[in-house]
Amino acid sequence: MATAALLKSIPDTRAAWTVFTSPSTNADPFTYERKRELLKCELMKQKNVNLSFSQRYIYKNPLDVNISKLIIAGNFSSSVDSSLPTDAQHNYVLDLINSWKSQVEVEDLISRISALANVVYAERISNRLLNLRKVFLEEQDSDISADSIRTFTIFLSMHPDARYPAITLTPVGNIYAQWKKDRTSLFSLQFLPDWGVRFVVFAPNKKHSEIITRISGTETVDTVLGNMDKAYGVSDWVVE
Amino acid sequence: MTGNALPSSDHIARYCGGSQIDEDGQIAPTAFHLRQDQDEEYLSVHWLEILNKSDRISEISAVRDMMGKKLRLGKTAKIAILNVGEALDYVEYKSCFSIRILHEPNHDYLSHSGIYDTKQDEDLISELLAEKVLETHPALVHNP
Repeated sequence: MATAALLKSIPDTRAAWTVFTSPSTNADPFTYERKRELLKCELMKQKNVNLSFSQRYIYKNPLDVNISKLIIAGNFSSSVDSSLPTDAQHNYVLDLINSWKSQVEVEDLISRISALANVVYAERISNRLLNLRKVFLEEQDSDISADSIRTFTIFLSMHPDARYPAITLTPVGNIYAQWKKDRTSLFSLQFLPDWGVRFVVFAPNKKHSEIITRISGTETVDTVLGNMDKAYGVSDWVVE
Repeated sequence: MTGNALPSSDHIARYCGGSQIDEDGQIAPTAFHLRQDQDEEYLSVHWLEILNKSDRISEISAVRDMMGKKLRLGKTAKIAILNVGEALDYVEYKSCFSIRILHEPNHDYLSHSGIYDTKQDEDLISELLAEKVLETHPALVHNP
């Protein structure tokens, strides 16, 4: 089934659908929710339908940053045979979304980075990701992880004044950003799904500057810079 | 023989894809990450001295040919060279993790070898290995 991959991480999706009719728009929307996302599809009851799909983080950010601004959306036109049973129409819509996710989603997510108005290097970072994606597709026939881009986008939104990092990709397509002052001062982040990050810090010991502390670990994207700054002063070379 | 440690004075070559090279042309730590989706046990490398070539250029040329048969060499990909002893000592000294570089010859390639035990702390060890890259060469030679 073409929707298998999409449904895999969303157990009981079908059971979570809410189907209702909106008289004003003659629409038959259905929604499903998973832990931190709301995905909403609107299926217009016309012969040729316009299909819109949006994905919005509804996670409550502990730092109270308005993450609800991060709306990831797709729009495409298609047609759905309205004589089909409702269940079959929903399957068809999910197939379309799945297809959109595999073909357009990554490019769309990257283009949204360039539109982050407050981020100092938004355009440059977006261009770098587009170039990396091109190389990655050529060499590996696989794409940058969409979830990794989302987590990276959250980091950029929360730290718009971050310096431009060296950006590369891990073999599985996760974004890896590295801020380096010299051989003694380094902060690297690998952006994982669901707000996760893996970090590496090299920093001079605050009391004994000739000793370099080297540590790694896992954190969440919203707290990692603050915590590492408190412990190792990484903002000194990460933030403008 | 399979599993033997490479001599400390010898050198290894690692293929680094274009997406694992930064904009300054430096090899990034991601070039030393295992493929989690393929359950890689070690990082594949080639042992240069066992090729018995007269100079580095000839060694790299032979490595290019071998890599080209197994991989789709990217236009911007590079081959990174590390010294065995320097890499092992540096990782152990800076991280307290011991890694191994062992000979893993197969039917096709006598020089095939592996960097083992990077899983102990891949993030930290890959940063340290990237710092010990001695030289880089293009993976693809563009003929005029």
